[in-house]
Amino acid sequence: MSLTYLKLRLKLPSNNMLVFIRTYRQAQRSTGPKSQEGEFRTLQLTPAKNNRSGPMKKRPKPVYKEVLPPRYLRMSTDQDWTNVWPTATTFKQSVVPLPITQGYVASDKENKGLPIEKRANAELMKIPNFFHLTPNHIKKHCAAIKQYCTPWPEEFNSDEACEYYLPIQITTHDYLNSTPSIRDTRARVVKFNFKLTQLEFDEHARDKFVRLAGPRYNTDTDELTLVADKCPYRKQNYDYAQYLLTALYFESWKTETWEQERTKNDWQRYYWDESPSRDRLLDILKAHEKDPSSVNSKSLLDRNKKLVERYRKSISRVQDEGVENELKNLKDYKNDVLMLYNLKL
Amino acid sequence: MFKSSFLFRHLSLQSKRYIHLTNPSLTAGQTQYHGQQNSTWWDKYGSHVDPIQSRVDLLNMDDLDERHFRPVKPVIPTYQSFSCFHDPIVSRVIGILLREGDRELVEELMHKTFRTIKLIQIGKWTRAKTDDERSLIECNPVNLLKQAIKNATPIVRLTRIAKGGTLYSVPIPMSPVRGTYTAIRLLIDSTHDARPHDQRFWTLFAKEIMDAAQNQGRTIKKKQEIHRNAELNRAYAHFKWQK
Amino acid sequence: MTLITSCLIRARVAAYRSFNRFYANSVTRTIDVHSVPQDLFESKAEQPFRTSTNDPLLHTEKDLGLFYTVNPEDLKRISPFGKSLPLQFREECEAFNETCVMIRQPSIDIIKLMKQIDWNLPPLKVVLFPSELGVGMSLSLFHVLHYGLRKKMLLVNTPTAAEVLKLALDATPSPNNELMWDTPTAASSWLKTFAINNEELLKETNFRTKFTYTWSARESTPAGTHLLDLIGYATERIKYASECVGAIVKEVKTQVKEKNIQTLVTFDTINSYYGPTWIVKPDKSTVKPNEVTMVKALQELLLPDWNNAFIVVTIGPKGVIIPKVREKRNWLVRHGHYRTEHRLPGVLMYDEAMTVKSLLRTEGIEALEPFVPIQVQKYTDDEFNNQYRYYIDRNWIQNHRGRDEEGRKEILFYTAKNPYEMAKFVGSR
Repeated sequence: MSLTYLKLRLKLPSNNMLVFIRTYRQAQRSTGPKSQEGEFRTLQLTPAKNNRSGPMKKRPKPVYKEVLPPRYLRMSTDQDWTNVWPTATTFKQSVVPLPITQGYVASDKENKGLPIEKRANAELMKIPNFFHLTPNHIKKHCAAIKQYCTPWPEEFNSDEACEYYLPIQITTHDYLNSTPSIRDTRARVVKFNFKLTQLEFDEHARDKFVRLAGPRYNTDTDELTLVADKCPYRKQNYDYAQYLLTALYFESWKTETWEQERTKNDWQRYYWDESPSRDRLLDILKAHEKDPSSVNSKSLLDRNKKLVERYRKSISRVQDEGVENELKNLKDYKNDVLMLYNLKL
Repeated sequence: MFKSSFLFRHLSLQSKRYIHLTNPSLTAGQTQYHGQQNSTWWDKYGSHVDPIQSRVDLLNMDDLDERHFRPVKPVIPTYQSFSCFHDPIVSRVIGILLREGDRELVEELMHKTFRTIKLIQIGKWTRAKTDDERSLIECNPVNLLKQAIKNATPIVRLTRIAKGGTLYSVPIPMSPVRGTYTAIRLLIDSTHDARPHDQRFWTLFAKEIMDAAQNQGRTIKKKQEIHRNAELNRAYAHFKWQK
Repeated sequence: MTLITSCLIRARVAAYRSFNRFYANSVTRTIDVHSVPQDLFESKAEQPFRTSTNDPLLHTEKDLGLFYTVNPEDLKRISPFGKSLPLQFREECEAFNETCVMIRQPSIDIIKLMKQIDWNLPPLKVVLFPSELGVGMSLSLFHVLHYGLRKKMLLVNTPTAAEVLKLALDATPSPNNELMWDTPTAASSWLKTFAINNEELLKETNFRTKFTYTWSARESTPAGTHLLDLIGYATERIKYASECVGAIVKEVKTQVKEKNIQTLVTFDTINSYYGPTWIVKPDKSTVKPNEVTMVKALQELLLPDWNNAFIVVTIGPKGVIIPKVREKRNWLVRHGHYRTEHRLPGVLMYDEAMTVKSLLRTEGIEALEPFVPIQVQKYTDDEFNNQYRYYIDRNWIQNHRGRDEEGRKEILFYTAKNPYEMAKFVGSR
């Protein structure tokens, strides 16, 4: 036998290269059909992949189970939905008998802009659904809870009555989680909410109360909101809020010595009776009189009570109210001044 | 950390070709991106037709106008306008005066310039005795500006052509667009040179425009100097076509 | 053929080439559209925009929205230093060679009030306030001043009240009172204005001082000096000008009743008297307006302790003095409103409502009380049309497109009938 060179492709760990290795031919067991003399025999290191010499063997056809139609097609129209969807679960397209879509096709090659139907729509599974909270569900829940409830007090038949008997609205939150700990730190917060009209004030006390409350007081709704969350337990926070409210109220009734020092700019509204505006008005009223020396200011005010009251109101409104109504207030004020001077426009 | 480095490698491989575009120190010309396809925003308006730019045009539009059935280019508010007072030459002057994109400032400068011109010219107009005198006074500031630009436009310019190892200044004709630009540039430059320095820009600019409209002043001298230089170098004029 | 002529021909040939540049292409189209000038706007003959009566004594509500021409001599007497009218308006008047003022509702109202007022009462104050910036308060005030001049009233006019408080370099400590600050230049110009306004009247009534004024140990003015002489003295000895303002105010307040002279007191932008100033003390604190001698004297005119007088004041954003030294932080425009985005952050600007309370604050209202607030509005349609026709008549609108209906509509749209905006917009067209 002559020596032949065999070309073998070897995979080496370091690099990919073609390597030629000289080998000696060795006797092999012949597995194939016997070769005849003179025929060029091919070297078969591995058996041929597919033996195509014989006829194609027929594979058995796979037998699939019969696919049932989705459940929503088999539902009756008068079924009880609460039994189908008793609790909160992820969206299942086969169960919900509604033509729901979610999102749009983004691809330009497909039908861009068309809504995507519910089948195989992962987006629908991500969002929360409320199929477990239909009116029938709620009715069932209520019926189940009803045995634990007490009747509503008859006195609280209106909102005003509720507000009168229960002036302070106390808000707390309870949290229930499926975690190892049943505690939740947010449960400690206590919120007190009430209207200032529920409390008894004089002008000074109310002013001081509002100043002490600061941003907790809402001018528009006349509501005060106290949030207590300093202490670790709810009871402590509740007590603290009660204490805070009491302290605020009684502190606002006190008048300290330094409060005498405040000027008129420190007041929250315009006090016309102590302002130079009143003196000006008196001057003009005095000038209207025949003999100005004989009248005093009190008699003047009494005589022109109506005019003075009108003037006082209009100028206070100009001074106190904001820009929104100012043009209207100025018009009123203008008419008053014209009346004062007996003028017509 | 592994993830971030992977991301970074990926990104750097992706944007390797365009990394020079993100370099802020490069100017537009240095980005090697000049003249590439779709490199400018107006490339996508290749098949679009020009927009209508005046109300008269809109009212007189033909039913078979191609704007009815072909895509239309957008109106660029800084250059084009639907206003009946809009004048392209004024917006060209504004564009040349513009610095750091402060268009509001430059527009105000132009308004004040025109107002100054009008104050002077209409003062003369109202004080003129006869109608003949009045007809000689041009009060419209935009007309004056156009006249000034026309008077200040040089018709030749010098370019440099290398021949036999030496550079020659060769006079060549000025294109109209470049001529307009040069005229406005000359007007502005002579305004910057003008005295007294404590005067406002619009006062001096108004004076320059009115001078140039009458073929007088520093701007016209600058134009004449350009012409004189061209005349001096007329011997090299044939280099433009003899290579 | 010279080189230049050949180039000229080549340039002309090149001009017919179409350019494929985006802008140039579309721009040439715009030129073609309006190349034909249209006919001039024809003013309607049956509705004149000028009144026949140029005397403000005869103006009635029929003349509303019409222009009247101010006599140049009167103009010189009312505003000798040109401060009673805005600068832009004066420039235009110079170009038009005449001063025309529109007769508008606020000034007519004020004149109507002046006609029916009881002069024995303490002076009535009329406060003009703007509906927005540039509605023409100063011009309305000018009309009233002209009326006063024609009616031979005593004019006590302070045309730019805020100016005194802004000229910080002008202020010096008062020689007599350590707490006060003098403003000699402003005071002397005020005195000159007063003298020129009322020269004839003062001579006719032989207005002499009732009190003796001691300026220093050596210098004093005895009682019985003519007011014009006193002013002449103070304008020469400029050191005492600010105190002389106080003297004039005192004399006017005491003598107006017995001499039976009706007095018209006017202040332009009086809200500056109730805010901060730009004058700074050596210890870096800001001087208050009532620490300025002249302002303090003028503020006494607003008190109700005299009569035979009528007071017209204006308040506006021009009078708002934004403090330079302190409280600057309060006035900074931090986050731009969408309408004020063009303002740079950190620019000082008055950005509040233009109503009485926000311009005057509590103190200002108290000082002026009782007053008749009158809002100056923007132009009405008629006023706008008259103004437009006046501009065309004066040849001020030069663009031929501005003279036809389309241009008129565009001016209306851009300016929204605001007088100042209109003057600005039309100014360059």
